[in-house]
Amino acid sequence: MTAWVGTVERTRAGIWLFFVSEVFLFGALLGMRFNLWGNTRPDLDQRLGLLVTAILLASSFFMYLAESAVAHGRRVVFLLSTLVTASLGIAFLVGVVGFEWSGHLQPTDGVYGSVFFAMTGLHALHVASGVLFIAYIGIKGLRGRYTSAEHFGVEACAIYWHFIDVVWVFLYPALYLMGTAVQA
Amino acid sequence: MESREHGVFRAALRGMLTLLALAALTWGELRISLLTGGSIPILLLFSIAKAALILYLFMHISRLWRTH
Amino acid sequence: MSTHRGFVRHGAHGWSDYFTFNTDHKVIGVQYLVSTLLFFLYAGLLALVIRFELLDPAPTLNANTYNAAFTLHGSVMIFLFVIPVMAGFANYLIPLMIGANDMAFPRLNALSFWLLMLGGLVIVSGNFLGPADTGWTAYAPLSLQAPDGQTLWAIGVIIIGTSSTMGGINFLVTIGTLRAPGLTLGRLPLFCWGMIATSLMVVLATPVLTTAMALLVLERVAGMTFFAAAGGGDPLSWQNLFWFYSHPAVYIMILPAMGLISEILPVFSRKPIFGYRAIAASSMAIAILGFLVWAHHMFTTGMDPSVQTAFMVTSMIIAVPTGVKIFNWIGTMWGGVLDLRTPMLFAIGFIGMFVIGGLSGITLGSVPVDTHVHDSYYVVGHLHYVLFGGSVLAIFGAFYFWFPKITGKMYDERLGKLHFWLTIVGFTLTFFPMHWLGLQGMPRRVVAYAEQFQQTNQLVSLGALILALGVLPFLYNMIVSWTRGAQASSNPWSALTLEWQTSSPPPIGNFDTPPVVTNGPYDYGESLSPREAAAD
Repeated sequence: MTAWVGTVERTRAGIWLFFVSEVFLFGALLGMRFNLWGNTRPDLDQRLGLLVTAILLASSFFMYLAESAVAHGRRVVFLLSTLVTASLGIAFLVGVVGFEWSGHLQPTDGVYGSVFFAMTGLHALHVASGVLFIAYIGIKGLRGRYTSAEHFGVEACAIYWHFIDVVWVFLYPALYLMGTAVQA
Repeated sequence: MESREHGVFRAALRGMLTLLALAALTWGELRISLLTGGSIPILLLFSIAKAALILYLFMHISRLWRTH
Repeated sequence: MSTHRGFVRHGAHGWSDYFTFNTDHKVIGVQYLVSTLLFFLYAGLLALVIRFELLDPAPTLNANTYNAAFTLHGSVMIFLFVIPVMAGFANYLIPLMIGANDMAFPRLNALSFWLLMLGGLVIVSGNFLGPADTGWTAYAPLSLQAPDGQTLWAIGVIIIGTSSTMGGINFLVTIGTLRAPGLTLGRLPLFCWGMIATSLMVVLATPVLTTAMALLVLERVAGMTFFAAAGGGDPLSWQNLFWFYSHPAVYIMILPAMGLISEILPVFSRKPIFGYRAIAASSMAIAILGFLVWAHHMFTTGMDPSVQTAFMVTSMIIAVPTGVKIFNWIGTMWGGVLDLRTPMLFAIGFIGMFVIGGLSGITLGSVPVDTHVHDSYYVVGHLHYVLFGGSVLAIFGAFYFWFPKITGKMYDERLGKLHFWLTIVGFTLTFFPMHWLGLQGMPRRVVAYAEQFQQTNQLVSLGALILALGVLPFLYNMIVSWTRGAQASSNPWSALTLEWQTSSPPPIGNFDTPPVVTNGPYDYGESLSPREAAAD
């Protein structure tokens, strides 16, 4: 018989299959980027790109800390870490949607603007839903619904958040670093 | 049986080391991009390395086939 | 044990439970089967509109109306009938076949169904905004210039794609984790193997279609540039994204049908299936190879000849696992005690018609031939041989085969046979002459055509009428047998798979005692025909 029978293992498998599907969603966009931009990229604010990347990577650390804390029954560390993770997520959104989107590159600026907005837009939607997910587990944690033995909701939220980070790991070089900059 | 404080501290240390590795790789990406004029294959390798670190150390991908 | 939490229901106690957000896999299965059948009738009527127009070489209808008709015919048949009807059978049958109480994610399952309905509504309502008129392939830049209905069409396809991805994940996790004790992968019914292969393709390929549709909507609505060459976009990238999904979609439509056939044939041959492992493995091989052939739809787009050759070779290789299946099915029937009941007739019809469709597919996969007959009626003939002669015949056979299980009633055998023969005759008259038309140079998707093609087109339209008439006894049979048919026993075919080992229709929760599996699904030892076995 198969070793995995519990609800947790089942849901975990479902979530990972969802990630596989998402890889192809973003993969198609990356394919469009390589097809339409080739060995070029739009001229973007490098400091802002590095800053939002650093923010998102750091948020993954705090998400990891939150999950470890709940697994060890450390409620205060868990709550503080989720708060920091969500705040960093919002800071990332402010950086991309608030600042980068109001820069000189606009969605109607040919293939450079279109691909840039499609990729960052789809990713920003995921970040926003991730922030909502973190708020949800934060509120549940505040009400004491998680124990060190049973906290799958936190794990699900954490791997979703890390997955969003993995996507950005590929989007950041594709948008900011690969190829030579051209004025769009 | 390790103490609760010890457990979280160890996890935080491991997470911090992972974050440092990711930061170093990101910095490397930026330098390589400037040095090579944005070489696509080299930058892809960096991305794959970063993704592998996150998948293995943060997302516990091995839980899919290892029961505990 | 029907639970009732808020608007969520579980299990059916009356007809009204079928119109709710119901989490019981059997209710969801019936919801899928009935609603997709309604979409089939709708798209079938559109086909009659198309055949009416083509009776005469000069346009009878407005050209835009005609374009909208074949666009909607193709889109509804593919996205709202053939793909989701398989999800209907899978929903109903997989938990029963593997001895589970329900699917792995029952609420997600109900959501998939209602998303499908929403997507269907969005696509159909697009007709009131100026209908999509680009064919189901929606090639850019044509689809960028189409009326507003095209936007709704693309949004509807995104919703349906999301529904089918959720379904695919659900099937994979269900088969992976909920099998009864003793039901090893080597004892899994072949329909389940077909659904594993199909679901993998759904999970991997559908998001690419979603991306393509989303970009199309953005380009149409938000003034962005992806596909329009005028703004620096690449029209060919639409074809690459579209066919990266839509060629695997061909296998998404045929692999479950092959699974259905693999269930029906051994029962009515009273023999173990020939080459169980080969059939299961060839499904997986097709699922993998199916991702490597998409550009054979694009041979005439000015591709590099070396790329053409590579895609031609991969396309030809697909014929190998497909041929393996065909020979295994023939091997299953060989020397068996054949009982030609309606499901078996449709299964045999499937093999014959699918072989023709497969062979015309090989000719199309060859670059020199494809260059000649690309976008001609030869392609229309080929795709209907695999989709109608393949998938739809298997679907009809499956409707008859599992009708006693789903309804607890027996269908009328004479009406079933009438349906089969009208279908086969009408089908051949409709789609075989299309190959001649294509070879003689008649292009597809045209409202007017050269006069020399008129006689053949009238023959095709006559065939379509017979095909449509054949659906009437089917509908009458299903409705009247369900309401007033004779009671069926729990296992009228003396079949060995698990879904037949519980009552008809199965109770909520499926099995009164949890099943334990000790043998394979097709271990038919004796040479008893089902009728003789039932008489015992």
